[in-house]
Amino acid sequence: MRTVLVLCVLWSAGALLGQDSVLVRTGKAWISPERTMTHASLLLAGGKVADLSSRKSANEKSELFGRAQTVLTFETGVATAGFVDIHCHVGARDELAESAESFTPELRAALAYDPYAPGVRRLSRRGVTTVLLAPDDKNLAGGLAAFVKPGRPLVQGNPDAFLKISLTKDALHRERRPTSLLGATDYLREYYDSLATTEPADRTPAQKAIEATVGGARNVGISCSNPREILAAVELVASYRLEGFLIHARDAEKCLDRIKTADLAVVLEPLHFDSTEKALRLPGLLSSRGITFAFAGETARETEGPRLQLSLALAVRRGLEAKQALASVTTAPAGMAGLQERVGTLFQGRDADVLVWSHEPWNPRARLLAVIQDGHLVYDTRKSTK
Amino acid sequence: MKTRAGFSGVMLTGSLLLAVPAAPAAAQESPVLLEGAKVFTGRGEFDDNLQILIQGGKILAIGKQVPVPATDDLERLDLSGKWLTPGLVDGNTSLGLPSAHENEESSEITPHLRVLDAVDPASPDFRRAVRDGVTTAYISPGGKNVFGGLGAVCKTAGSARLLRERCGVRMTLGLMPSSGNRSFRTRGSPTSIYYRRPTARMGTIWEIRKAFYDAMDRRETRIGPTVEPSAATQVLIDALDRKIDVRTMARSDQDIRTAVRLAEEFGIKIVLDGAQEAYYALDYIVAAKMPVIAAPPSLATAADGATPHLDTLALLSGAGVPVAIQTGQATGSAAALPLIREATFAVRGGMSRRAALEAVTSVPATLLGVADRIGSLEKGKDADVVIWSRHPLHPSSRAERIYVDGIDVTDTDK
Repeated sequence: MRTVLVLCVLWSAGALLGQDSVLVRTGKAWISPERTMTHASLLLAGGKVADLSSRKSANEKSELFGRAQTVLTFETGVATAGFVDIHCHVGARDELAESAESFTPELRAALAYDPYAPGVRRLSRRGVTTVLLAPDDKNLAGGLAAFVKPGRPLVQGNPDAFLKISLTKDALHRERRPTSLLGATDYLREYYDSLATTEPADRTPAQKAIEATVGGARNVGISCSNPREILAAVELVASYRLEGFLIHARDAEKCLDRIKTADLAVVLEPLHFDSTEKALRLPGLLSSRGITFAFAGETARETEGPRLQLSLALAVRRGLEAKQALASVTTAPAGMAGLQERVGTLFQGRDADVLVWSHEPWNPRARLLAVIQDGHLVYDTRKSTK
Repeated sequence: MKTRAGFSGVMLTGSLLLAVPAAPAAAQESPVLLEGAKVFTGRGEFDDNLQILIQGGKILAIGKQVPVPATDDLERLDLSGKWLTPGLVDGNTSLGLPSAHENEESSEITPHLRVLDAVDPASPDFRRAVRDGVTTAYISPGGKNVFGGLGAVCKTAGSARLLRERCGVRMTLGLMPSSGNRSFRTRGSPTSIYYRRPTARMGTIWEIRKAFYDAMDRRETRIGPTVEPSAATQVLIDALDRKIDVRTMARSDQDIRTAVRLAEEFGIKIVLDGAQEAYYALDYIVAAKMPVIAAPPSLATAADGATPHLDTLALLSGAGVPVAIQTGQATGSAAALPLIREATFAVRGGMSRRAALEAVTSVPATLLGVADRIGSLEKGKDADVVIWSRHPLHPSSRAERIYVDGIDVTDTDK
């Protein structure tokens, strides 16, 4: 049975290969978390959303129909933009940290990206069509995260996304600098302060990578967990006028004011059935204080279900507004990565990353009916028509 | 690129606020009159019939008969039978730090590290301190480095807690800085790259003298007009210029004597920390006019093989040495009792009650350079007040009500 399904998927993907335009017709579409459309028709061409319109009724063919070579119809389906995972380690075969040294801000995760690494393709079948492949928490300044579409080759022109910094215990090691949070903040300050005394021409690659974050030209993603790490991150951001987001921030509820004042966003770990009360409450708290947040950390493990989808269901069940939930996996992470013009919404001109769901994605019964990534059908439970 | 001035300016403003997670309580507006209690003002003896009027977080008036404002919202607290002291001041703690001895161990000379970077203001440590009547504490980096870093003076409750940053630089004598200087893997083979000075008491002193001599060199011969000393060197230069105290952890007799010699050699201002064997070196300490923030007198053991005596504090205060008491950085079975109980132990060892109370209020406030705000009950000072169920030094006394900045923080859980 499974073989048949796989063949079917391969066939339909093959059928689309080389074809330019696809029309996706769904019962409803979330163009953005703020805007929905009923009886939506989305024309995808050249890897982008070429056009969109709303049909008057479920059966009426839209004016876009004639322009499409392939038509996919999901009469009761709900289309959303592909999910964006802002902090993900799937897609590299080995550790995403150079452990000989803890301060490696110039290293690029893009160089570790492997489109054939185990599990990469499974990400897109879980609705994650964009991934920010981030260095892990083991280095104080781990390097630059890469913007990739899981399973698809790396696009050379894509700029590096954000600088990953980690103030967590993972970054401390007793046999190298830093061994403590005191030393970690000092190490970072030393580098930022060294910019003032070094001529631009004399700067090392590490200094250049750090310099790009001053004033917010490049975002920083700072891993921090408990209040003292969160406060150290906030202080650092204030000292050097950085912009970006906190990652993990499990104790963010104790520092909401400071996070809000520093204008930082928060990247949360996915929710699951065993999540603590504190973790389940946090999305609602952040949302009520107007702090942007995203869920991140999808897994490619076969034994585990899709994490982001479950997070949405659990968060909405705890009273988070549906559009906030959708934003937390689409527009919010896209904005944090500076990719809001590329992914996260289905406006005209955005990347053709479309998910078609059987129900609203935060409905526990929701199933993915189809996944289109850069205009390519990568997962489909139906046959295409026309 | 931003100029250096821009950088340091931003850094200063950023660091001057110690964050508090709880919503700041509204400043107390209506005046409160505390009357009827036996009052210890921070100096001298308990005094009956002193009235204290507090408003807006400050002490408006204190005296036998204070002028009472003619407002309707005046709250009169009848404290007959109670005992009242200033909020206690703990001379040395590790409140809110991840570990009792918080140090960056990748280097031995880290005088510029700021302890505030690792303090969690939401830590339950602070709550515990408040319940014991401690309203102000010195928070210090640990003693595993020769120079550990800069301490800070903080209140234990309230919305604006930081009283003084860059308060004293931690220097440690004895064997503790030797910890962590041998390889973890090869068990002490001197060929390992993790093997470094100091591994012995003599090496510690060598590191200190080298650091100060390097700082003196740096102060006197500038390398070009634009290059400024590193942050670490600048702190040591400030110490040499007596702009910053050197909080010196010295437990045993020979370390105390070394501290006195170092103070003479470099002209630095040393505040002794610990000083368990001060009874041996009493003459030295008196002659050098060196204040002591003494180890908890209830502890019968000490590191570095020092032998504590219960009467050390009594001897010191009897000899006219300014003595404050600390609960210190030890944890677990070696942890100290609440600060007021440690003062009780000092009295048990022969210290006068008056001196013991001063050692947890006005003396540490003076040594920490915050006596203009706290440590005694005087007009215009912060309204940090503790109301005790009986004489505070009695072994069963309890802090019944605690005010910080005029706000009752006894039962607030945040």
